[in-house]
Amino acid sequence: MRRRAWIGSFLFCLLCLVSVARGLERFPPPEFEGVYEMPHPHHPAPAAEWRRGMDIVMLSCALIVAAYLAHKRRSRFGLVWLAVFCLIYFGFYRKGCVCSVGSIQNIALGFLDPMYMVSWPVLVFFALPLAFTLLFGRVFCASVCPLGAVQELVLVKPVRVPGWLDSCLSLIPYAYLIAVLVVVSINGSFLVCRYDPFVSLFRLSGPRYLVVLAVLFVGMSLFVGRPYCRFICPYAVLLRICSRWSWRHVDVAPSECVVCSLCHDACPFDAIRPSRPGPRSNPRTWMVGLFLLLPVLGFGLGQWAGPLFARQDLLVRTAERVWMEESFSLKETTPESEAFRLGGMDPLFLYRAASEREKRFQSGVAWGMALWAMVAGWKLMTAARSRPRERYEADRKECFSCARCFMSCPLERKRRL
Amino acid sequence: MNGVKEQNTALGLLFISLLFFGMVTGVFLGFHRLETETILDQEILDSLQKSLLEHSEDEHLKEAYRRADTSLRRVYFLQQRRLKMGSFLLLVTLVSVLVSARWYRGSIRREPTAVSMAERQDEARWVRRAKARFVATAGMILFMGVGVLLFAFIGRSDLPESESLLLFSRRLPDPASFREERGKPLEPSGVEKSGEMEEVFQEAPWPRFRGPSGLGIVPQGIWPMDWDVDSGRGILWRVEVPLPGNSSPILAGNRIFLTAGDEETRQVLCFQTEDGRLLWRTPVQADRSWDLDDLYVFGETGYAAPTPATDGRYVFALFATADVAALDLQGNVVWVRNMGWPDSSYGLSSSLVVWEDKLLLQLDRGSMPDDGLSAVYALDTASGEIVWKTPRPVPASWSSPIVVETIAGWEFITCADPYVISYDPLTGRERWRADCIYGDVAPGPVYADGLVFATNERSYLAAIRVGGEGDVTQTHIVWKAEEGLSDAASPIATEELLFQCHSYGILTCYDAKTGELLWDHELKGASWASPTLVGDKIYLPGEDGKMFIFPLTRDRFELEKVLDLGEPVFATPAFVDGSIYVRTEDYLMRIGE
Repeated sequence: MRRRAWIGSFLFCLLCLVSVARGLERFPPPEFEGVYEMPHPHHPAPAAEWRRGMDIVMLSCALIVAAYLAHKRRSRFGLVWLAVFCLIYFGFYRKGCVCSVGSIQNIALGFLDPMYMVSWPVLVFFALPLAFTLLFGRVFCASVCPLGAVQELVLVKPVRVPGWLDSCLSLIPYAYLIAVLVVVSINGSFLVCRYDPFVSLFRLSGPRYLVVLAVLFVGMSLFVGRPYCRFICPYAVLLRICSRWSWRHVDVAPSECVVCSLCHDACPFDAIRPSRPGPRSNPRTWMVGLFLLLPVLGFGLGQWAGPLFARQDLLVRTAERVWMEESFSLKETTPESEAFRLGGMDPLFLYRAASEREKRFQSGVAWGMALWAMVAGWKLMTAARSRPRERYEADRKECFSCARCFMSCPLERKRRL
Repeated sequence: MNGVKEQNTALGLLFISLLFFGMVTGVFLGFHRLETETILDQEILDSLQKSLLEHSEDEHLKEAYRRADTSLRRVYFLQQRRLKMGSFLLLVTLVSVLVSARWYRGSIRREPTAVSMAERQDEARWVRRAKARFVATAGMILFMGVGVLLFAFIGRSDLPESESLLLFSRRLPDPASFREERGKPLEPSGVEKSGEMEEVFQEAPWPRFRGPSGLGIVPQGIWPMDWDVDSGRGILWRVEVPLPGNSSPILAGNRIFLTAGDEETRQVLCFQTEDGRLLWRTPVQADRSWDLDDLYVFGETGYAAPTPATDGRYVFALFATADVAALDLQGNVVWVRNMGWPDSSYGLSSSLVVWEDKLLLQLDRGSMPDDGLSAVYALDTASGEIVWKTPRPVPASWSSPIVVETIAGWEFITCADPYVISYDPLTGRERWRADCIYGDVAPGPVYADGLVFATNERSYLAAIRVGGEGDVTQTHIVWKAEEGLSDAASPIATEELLFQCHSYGILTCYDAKTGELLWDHELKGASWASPTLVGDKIYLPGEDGKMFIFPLTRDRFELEKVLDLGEPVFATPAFVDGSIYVRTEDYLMRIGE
C-alpha cells in the first residue's frame, strides 16, 4: 500500500510538471501582432559587485564546511548534501562561471599579457581551493567543485578502471594543462571554457558539440568514477601537487588499519593504495636515461610540429593564403583573404604578425612538449616503481576526500556505534 | 520497509523514471532541433528578398515578406520556449532516474570481500601489475607522440608549395620597399593658382600645429590685447576661406597655409600675410586602392582637420582621405600618395610634424589595438618614400604628436589608447611606452623640464619622466590626476604649471612637479581649440567666437579679457611677429597693428 502511495505521488509530481509545460505551449502569448515596436538595443549591465562578493563568501564557506565534514565529522552524508548545494549554486545558479578550473587561463594570461587584468574574484577562485588543498587535501574536489559534484552524484554503478588504463590516462591532464597554457600564451584563447563538458548542462543550452560532450561525460560518469576529474581536468594537476604536500589529509581508518581491503573495494576512484609486503623496487638506470632523453625528443618534435600546429590559427592561415594569392597568382580567393583586403591593412603587417605568431607556436609547442615529455618520463618511472605498505592508505594525490571509504572501514563503524 | 520491499519500490520508481525520461527524450529529439535554424536561413525569405530586389515597388510582395518574416519569427521563439522547457524536463527526469537508480543500488545488500593475505603476498602479482602500468604508460606516450605527428600532418595546408611562414618571412622585402603605394611626382595639372611665383625657400616662424615647438608656447612680446571685428579696429584684414576645414594656419615667410575640403575636393590654400590675398589653391588627389564613396567622414571633424606642416621649402598636407602631399611654396604638387584606408571613426585629425628631412605621421586606425592598422611613419620630405614605418598596438586616435629634444636625444612622442609611446625619429625604434591614457584620445602630449604630460577625458592626466627604455609604466610615471581632463585640446606645460581645458570650458591648473590641483574654473562657453601661452598669458579661442585671455598663475584664475572673433573658432591661432592669425569657421584674419 505504502509502495503504491510512493509511486502514485511521484507519478503525480511528474504529471504536474508536464501539464505546466502543456499549458504554456497551448496558449502562446501573441507576438508581432499589430504595430511592432523595435526593441532598443541595450548593453547588459556588468555583474553586480555584491554577487561577486557573494560568490567568494560561498566558496570560502563551502571549503570550510567541506574540510570540517571530511576531517572532523568524517561525514559522507554531509559531503553529499554539500555537493548538491554547490552544484545548485555554482553550477545551475551561477551557470558554472566563474570556476576554478577555467581560472587557470585568466591567471596565465594575466602573467603573460600586461594588457590583461585578472579580476579579484577570479584570483580568489584560483588561489583559495589550492590553499585549502595545501591545508586539508582535495576537499574542494570532494563537494565544492560543481563539475566534480555532477560526476559524484550521478555515479550509480562504479566500474573499476584497470590500473594500467588508469596509469596511461593520467597523462592526459598534464597534456591538457600544458596545451591550455601554450594556447593562452600564443593567442589568448580559452580552451577550457570552450570545451567545458558540463557548462551546457548548467545552462540547459549550448552548441551541439557541448551538448554531446555533456551527454558523453554524464553517461560515462554513471559507471566510471569522476572521469573528467581524473583523466581530463587541468586544475586537478595543480590540486594533486598541493594535495601531495598537504598539511593534513583524511585517513581511511580512524586508528590502526586492520588490512581488510574493504576501503579499497569501496573507492571507485582507485585512490587507496593497498597494503603490500615485500621489497621496494626502484627504477632501473635505463629508465632514468629515458627520463632525461624524453624532454629532448619532445622539444625536437615540438620544434618540428610547431609551425604545422600554427596552421590551425586563423591569422597564420589568412597570411599564408594572402601570400600565396599574391606570390603565386592563385585566381580564387577565400572569404578571409577578401575580408583582409577590404580592411585596407598592410599585407606586410599581416605577414610579420603571422610569422611572429608562427614563431610563438614553434617555441610554445616545443617547450610545452618538452615539459609534457618530462612529466611523462617521470610517470613512466613511477609506474614501474613500487614500494611496500603496511596498511591501506589514501593516495594523497588522487584521493578526493569524498569520505566514501570511511563507512566501509570496520574500525570506523565500531567507532560510531 | 524490509529489504525486498525497498528493493521493489526502488525498482518501480526507476522503471517509471526511465519511462518518463525516455518519453521526454523522445519528444525532445523528435520534435525539436538542438540548434534551431535562424530565420535568415529560410529559403522562403531568400526567394522573397530576391523578388523584392527586382520589384521593389510591389506592395503585395512587401506585405508577403512581412507576413513570412513574422510567421518565421513566431515559430523561432516558439521553438526556443519549447527547447527551454524540454531541457528543464529532461533535467528533472534525469535527476529522478539517478535518484531512483541510486536508491535501488543502495537497497541491494552485498557481502564485503576482503583480499587474503596470500594474495597480497603474491610478489609476482605486484610485479605483473607494475609491468602492465609501465607498458601502458609507455604506449600512451608513444600514442600521444604519434597523435601529435598525425595532427600536425592533418593540419598541413593544402595550398601549393606550402611552406612555413618562417621560411618565406625571411624572403620578405624591406618594409620601405614593399607594396606601399609609392609617392609619385605629379604634373601640377588642375592646379588653380593666382599671384606670382617668387621664393623657393622661406623661414617658417610658425611651421606646424601649435608653433615651432608644437607645445603652444610663444615668447614674451607685444601681442594684440584689444580689437573689434565689427568695426575693424585692430583687424589688419579678414578674408573668406572658400572651403570648410578645421586645420590651423601655419606660416612660412609671408605666406599662410591652410587645408580645406569637402566630399568633392581637398585643397591646400596659400594666403599672403600682408593683405590676406589668396595666392593659390591646389587640389590634392592621390591614386587610391579603395573607393572614395565608401568613406564616411564625421561632420564635426571634416575632411581637413590635420594641420599641415612646412620646412620652409615644401608644405605638407594630410586629409581625411589619408592623402598626404608635398607642395612647393608656389603650389606645385611635388609628390602625393595615399596611406591606405583611413579607418577612423571620427576621421583623421592628427597633425603633421617635420623633423630634419622627414615628415612624421601618426596614423592610428582601426577600432581595436590588434587590428594592425596603426603605425607611425617617416616619409622622405623630398620624395614621399617611406623611410621607416613602425606598427603600433593601438586603435584609432586623434592626437597630434610632438618631437622634442630631451636628455635622451630627440624623441617623437605620441598618445593613443592606452600608451604614450616615444620613438626615435631617426629610425622609428620605440624608446619607451607608458600605459596610462584610455578612450578616444584626442589631446596631444606636451613636454617641459624632463616630463611628458598626456591627458584624456575619463582617463588620467599623467606626468612621465623621460629617459626610460621599454615599458616604463611602473617606473617613470611621476604622478597621475583625474580632475578636469581635456577631451580635445592639448594642454600647456611649463616648468612649474600644467594647464588643460575641457571642451565644456572647464579649466584646470596643476603643479607640474607634484600633480597637485591648484585651481579650476568653468568658462561661460565651450572651447575646442588648443590654448597658447603667449608670454605669461593664455589665449584660448572659444566655440562661440570669443577669445579668452588670462594670465597663467599659480594662485587662481583671473579672466583678463574676453574679445569677440565674430565666428565660432575650432582652429588654434598662429602668433607671429606681433600678429595673431585666426581661422574662424568661414574666415581667416590677421589681428595686429
